[in-house]
Amino acid sequence: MIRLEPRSRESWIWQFGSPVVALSLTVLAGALLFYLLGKPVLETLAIFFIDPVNSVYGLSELLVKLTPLLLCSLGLYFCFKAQVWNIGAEGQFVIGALVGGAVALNVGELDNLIALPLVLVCGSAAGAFWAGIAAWLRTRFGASEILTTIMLNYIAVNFLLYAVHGPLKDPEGYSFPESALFSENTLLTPLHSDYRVSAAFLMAMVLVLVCWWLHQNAIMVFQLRVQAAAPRTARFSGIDSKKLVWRVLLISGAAAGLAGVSEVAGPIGQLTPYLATGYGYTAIIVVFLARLHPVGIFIASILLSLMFLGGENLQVMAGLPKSVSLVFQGMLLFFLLITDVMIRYSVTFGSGKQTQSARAASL
Amino acid sequence: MSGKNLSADSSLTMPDFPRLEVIDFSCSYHQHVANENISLKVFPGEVHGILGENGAGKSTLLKCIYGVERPDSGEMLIDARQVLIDNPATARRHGIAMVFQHFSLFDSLSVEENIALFLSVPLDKARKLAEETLSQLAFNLSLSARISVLSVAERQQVEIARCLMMKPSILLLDEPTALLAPPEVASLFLLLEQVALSGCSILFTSHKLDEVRSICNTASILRQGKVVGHCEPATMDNKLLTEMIFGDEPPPLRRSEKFEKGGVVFSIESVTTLADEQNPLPLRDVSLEVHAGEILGIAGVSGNGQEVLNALINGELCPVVGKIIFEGEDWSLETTASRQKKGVQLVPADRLGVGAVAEFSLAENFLLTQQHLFVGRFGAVDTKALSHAAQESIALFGVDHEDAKVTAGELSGGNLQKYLLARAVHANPRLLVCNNPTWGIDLQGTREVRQRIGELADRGVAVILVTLDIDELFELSDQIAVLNSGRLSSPEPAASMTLQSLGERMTGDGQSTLTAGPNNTGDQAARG
Repeated sequence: MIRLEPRSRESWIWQFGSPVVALSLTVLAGALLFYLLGKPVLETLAIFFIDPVNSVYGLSELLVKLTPLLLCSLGLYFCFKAQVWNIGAEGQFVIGALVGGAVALNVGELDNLIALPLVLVCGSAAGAFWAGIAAWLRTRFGASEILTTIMLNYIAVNFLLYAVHGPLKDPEGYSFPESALFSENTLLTPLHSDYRVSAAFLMAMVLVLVCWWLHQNAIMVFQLRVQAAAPRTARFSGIDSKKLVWRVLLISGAAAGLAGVSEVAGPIGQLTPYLATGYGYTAIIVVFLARLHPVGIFIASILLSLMFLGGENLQVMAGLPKSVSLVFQGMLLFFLLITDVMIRYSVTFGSGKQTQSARAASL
Repeated sequence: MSGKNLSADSSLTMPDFPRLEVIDFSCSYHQHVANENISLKVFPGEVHGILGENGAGKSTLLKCIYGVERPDSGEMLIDARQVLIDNPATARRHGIAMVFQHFSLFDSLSVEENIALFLSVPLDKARKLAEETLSQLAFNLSLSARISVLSVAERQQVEIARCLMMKPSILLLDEPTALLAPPEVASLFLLLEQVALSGCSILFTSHKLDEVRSICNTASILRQGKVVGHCEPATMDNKLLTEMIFGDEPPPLRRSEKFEKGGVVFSIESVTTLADEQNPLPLRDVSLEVHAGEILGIAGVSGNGQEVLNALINGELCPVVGKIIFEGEDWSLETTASRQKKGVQLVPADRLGVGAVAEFSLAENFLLTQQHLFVGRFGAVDTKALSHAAQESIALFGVDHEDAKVTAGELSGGNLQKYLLARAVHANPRLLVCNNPTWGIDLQGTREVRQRIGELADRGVAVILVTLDIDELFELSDQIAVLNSGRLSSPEPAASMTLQSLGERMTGDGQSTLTAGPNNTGDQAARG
């Protein structure tokens, strides 16, 4: 008989081993999937994981995908550290893009040094505002942020659709549901003319370093951990949990909003109905895969960005739908949740001598 | 393996073989030997005490008998038949029941649901059984109350009551009275005597020697995992028993007889609080005043507002009426963090649930109540200073763990208590609030903790001591006030107070008869 027995302490080996095993299982399951679809397994895997990044241009495209994913994930890091389950980075991303875009369409005449920061700050603030609604509902009425943030995602997307079909539609756009292209003055220009990577990538990298520093030093991160591990102790030791909920949601919303606005004021350059491409949801997987650690977030974001690129590549090269990347994401989270069990439990075969803790648990 | 022939009537004939015999039990964890060649006999109807310091191996012995631990060697006889008990289910089939030192109740379920689950009977049957047993016990528990709203003592009552409902032939009790107030202890003992009369054998561990002497027919004394002697406690005095347990005479406490009262440090002026889910029993018109160098003892049966009083002093709760004043400043709306900064430290009763985070290191736990001391520029924690301070406090208070990296959950109760007290002392408080500071700690640890508290007061700290332990109350307090149904009696000098007058106030013969009883109020709030 196979049995799970609780460990007396969390296993450090599995803490880090679990993502690696989960990734391996995902690749194996992906291989099986390609095989069942009648595709040459190794070649298809290569198209998915290797081809997208075997050129400098490919690598630069990876950074383009990495930027918004990193920003969203770093924001969620704070929420999840405190066990505030913000599922709404997607909506905060969209609102950031929408409001930032609306501002961009109206300040095109201003100087670049004023217009661009204005656009970025407005987008970021809009994301924070959107998350702030969930914070208010949670702290004022005790509404679960899981539900409110998910619902706010749909509202955000519908606001975007309304805007591009209505007030923000390009008057000279032949009735396509798109805004006009933003003026040069409001755009994050590429760092190099051959590639699409913009200064937003540099901002994201700085934020990785800032988060890493906070992770290791900040009293705030300590407070988030106390709040997550023992809310009663947090209250006793004077940690204001409402303030924390506000703070983490505002940070997270601002980061997702910044991601959104740097997409529309960067590689995209206009508002379109297709802005909600799943960065906000993928970021959730990133943060769990990363073991709630900023450096882990950097690594996991690269992996998940690669899956985005790989999906697009498969569509072109192997005639498979782009949503293959979503299948891979789903499998990755699925396997991760399974292998994470190993952190707290050990597997035993047969009815050998039980551990002390297992016996205590069987009382 | 036969357990079917066990029944209470076997005792009527009083067989000349013991109900339970343990022969040469040895049990070790990793390298540490917890029990070594322990042998003892308990006859039907006998109450057998197991005495010893914390870490002497009392709990381990009970756990081995109950099948939670498996001894490395040794055997066990029940009614002169050899039995092999390798898990609690087998133990229960042999008529053994155990009340643990740490609770095994489901917080989110009600009292009666916990009882039904434990006994594996339908809810209505459990309710009937429970009503019977509780009225016998004189435990004032509401069956429909959720465990999470009960005080620690009330939870323990549930544990004891549901074990008795199994009608066991061998009952193991690990520190059952640690959290009970005197009247509750008395009624428990009365019931245990009845249970013993019906032929049940009882094994009982306790640190309280008076209790052991009053209830135990026989006792085994454990020191460092070995039996160092058997005795009949009733025939011995405390001094002799203490000598057997420790091997020598305990040093006297150093609390100085006279205390020099300084100015008023902290006062509460006619405060009333609102009832909410966390604090079902509000405080009503509570006033108190504590001076520098003074220890104000707050007595009371548990669940009479102690936790609310703590929350109020800690700033987790605001008064709806009245004022809190600290060194002349109105503190009614002051935050907890700001109170810590200005010199208030609390040592809560629930060490792991409130005072410390089990999976955090000792150093991290040190940070909890004095974040202002270790936070520098950009909100960065000075981890070096922190682990240094934690390490220093560990050494200073003789916490039995030299490394601040171990987690709080790995410390024994006594060591964790010393550590939490050391943490509070490090912050250099003007006001220290201690809650049941010696609950579940061995005699040596108790003595040390009480001595520390006395020393702090001698150095001019104002101390509020909220305790259920009457000995402790009289030993340490300069003034005593009694909390009953959310009301506080006016403090009186400890010297002028008698046990009787204290008991009357605690059990509600005094002013509290004017109002509803504590449990009624609490239960109504819990139900709503």
